[in-house]
Amino acid sequence: MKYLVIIILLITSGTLWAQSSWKAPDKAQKQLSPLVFDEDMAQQGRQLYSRSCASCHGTVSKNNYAIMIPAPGDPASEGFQNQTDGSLFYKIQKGKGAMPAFEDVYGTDEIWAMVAYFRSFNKNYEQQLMQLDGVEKFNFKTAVAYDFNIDKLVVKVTSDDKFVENVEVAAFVKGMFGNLALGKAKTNTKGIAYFDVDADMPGDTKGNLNFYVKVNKNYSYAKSTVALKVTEPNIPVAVTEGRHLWSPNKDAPIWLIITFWGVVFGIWGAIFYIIFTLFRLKKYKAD
Amino acid sequence: MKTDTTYKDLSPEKIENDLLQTVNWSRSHKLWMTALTIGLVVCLYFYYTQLRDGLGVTGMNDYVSWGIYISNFVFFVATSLIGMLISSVLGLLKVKWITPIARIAEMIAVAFAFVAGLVIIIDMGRPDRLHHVFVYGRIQSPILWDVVVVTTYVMLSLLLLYIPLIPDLAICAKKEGLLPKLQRRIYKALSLGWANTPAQFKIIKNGIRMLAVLIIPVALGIHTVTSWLFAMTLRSGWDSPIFGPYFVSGAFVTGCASVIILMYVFRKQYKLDHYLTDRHFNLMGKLLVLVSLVYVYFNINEIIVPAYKLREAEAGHILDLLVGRESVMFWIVQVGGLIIPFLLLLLKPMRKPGPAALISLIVVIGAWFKRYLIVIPVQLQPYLPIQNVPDSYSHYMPTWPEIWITVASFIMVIMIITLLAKLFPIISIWELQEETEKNQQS
Repeated sequence: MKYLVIIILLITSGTLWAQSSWKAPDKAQKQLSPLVFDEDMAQQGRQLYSRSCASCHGTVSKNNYAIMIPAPGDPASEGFQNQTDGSLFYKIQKGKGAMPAFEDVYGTDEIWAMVAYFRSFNKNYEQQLMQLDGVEKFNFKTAVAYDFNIDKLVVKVTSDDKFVENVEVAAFVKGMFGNLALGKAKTNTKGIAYFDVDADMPGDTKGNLNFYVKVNKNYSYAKSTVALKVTEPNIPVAVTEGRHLWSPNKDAPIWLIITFWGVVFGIWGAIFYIIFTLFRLKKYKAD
Repeated sequence: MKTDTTYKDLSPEKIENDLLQTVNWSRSHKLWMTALTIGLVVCLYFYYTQLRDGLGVTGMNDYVSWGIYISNFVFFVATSLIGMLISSVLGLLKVKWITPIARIAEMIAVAFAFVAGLVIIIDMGRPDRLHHVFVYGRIQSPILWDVVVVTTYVMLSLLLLYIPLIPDLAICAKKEGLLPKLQRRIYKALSLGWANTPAQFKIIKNGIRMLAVLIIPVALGIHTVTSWLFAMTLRSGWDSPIFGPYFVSGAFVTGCASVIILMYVFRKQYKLDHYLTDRHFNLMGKLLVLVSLVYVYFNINEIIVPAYKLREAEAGHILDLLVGRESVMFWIVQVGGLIIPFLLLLLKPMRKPGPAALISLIVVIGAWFKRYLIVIPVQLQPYLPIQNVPDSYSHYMPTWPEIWITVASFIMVIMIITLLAKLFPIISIWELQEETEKNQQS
């Protein structure tokens, strides 16, 4: 009993210590989201959360987080909601102990989307917006095409119908379970960035690759997804197609069907023949 | 002093009387069957609990999903194979001394093969879905092949028991006074108008010869396919190309031993010393030595090849058997149940009826546990361990219901053999008469 009390004390104090001790640096706490938290953003945050966070933090607002020390906590709880946007952003980005750092996994916009998702559970929350006076603002538009002569993805960035020079563009190919990074490139004087693409990459059934392009400068963002026919149509063949040992019964290999039924009919034919001869015994009752 | 009289010196009438004396409904027989029935009912109560509560009443779990039911099935299929060796292989080779033994071997074949089919149903959690095997069965699966080949073997063994019985059935039908009228009528119907004519003899001898040829591939098939139930899966310890012959050779060991035991019981019970003579025990003992040697050869191969390399995946299983947790049972079974018995049988006095029967009993018990060692330890060493299972899953111990249900299968075998022995002459009357007539003419 004595030990139990000590253990409980240790655990609770450890938990409190861990929660109270993890503070983002002052500068980080004051960070603000350049984007307005809206429903779309919260929705994006929900998807990212269920992919990377739910296994420990549980379903938000249900308090069903994993049993760990220190406790991961529920993002809808007061302990989370009392922190500043910048503090939440910092902690997701940097991680600590069992909490992984996501800065290499997600872009800043995606981490802000998660914060937006957490805030959507807080009715009293009012977003503090960033003072963007004096910062150059863009209204990015991207045009994406594929140049078959040089096997490159071509991304043209404009803002209010003018080329934007020296802006960073990141391009990806969307896959089933994640995005394949093609790389990052800066636009040239014509506002164009090029990306090498392996033309042998498997596409969808029409030969399309889904390109995902992000543009980012100062606090202006743009992203777009474009399907381009780049490769040959990729028609998936099910492993169960055709006649195999692992196919369903109706697709059993022909050789097996012939062998099996051949043997069965052969032996049972002989059995019935023998039985048939026995019925002739009566005929030979007398010599 | 015991004389060396055998059935060859006896008159046909004497043979007929001697061998028909077993066909009756004696008091002792009724008592014996009642005792067996009571035992069976008690055991079947446990099967009822299994039906009610599911396979959870057994010791099987996520690791060992094939417990003693399956090892018992393998044992039964194995034992039934002796019918093929004795009446077919030796019969086709025109080995004369097997004549009085052939029907005993065939009775063992029928009883064990039939109950083997039932044992498989016992292992099913939902026996009411038995027909799903046929409705949803895949022709690519060895399980379906096994169902087909077991059924075929039961049918062939029944015919191989029945056809040589036809002339004897006619003799039984004529036997007035001893048997109820209804029973004699059934014999008469079953004898299909037998009248000892040469044309009739020709028909049944042709039939027997065809069956004898036919049963060889089917019998090899039944036990090879049973071995494939294991060898066709990807598991260390089962993944072996010699599993088929390994099983078949092992089958002859338990089969021969079972025949010797049954010969001994019948000889004592029905005083058939002139028919199941010391010579028969001597020769069956030699046959048991021969098949044991073949089996030892396969055993050495089966163990030493993986044990020499001790590849990681197989090491766990092999070391379990040789020095690990199954090692005590393994060495008792291999040395006590196989090597010492065949060494003893090399000595002539050990091939006398009494010692031979005792040694055979030990061989049969060893053979049962050998099937346990083939089936169960392998499953405790999967290539991929199952995660998050209770500690108890890392070993297997049959529960009492499981053990009693297994006992029930043995009781059923004994009941079938007892019934067959009471309904029909244990030894073929007409074949012995034919032999003695030839003997006395020359």
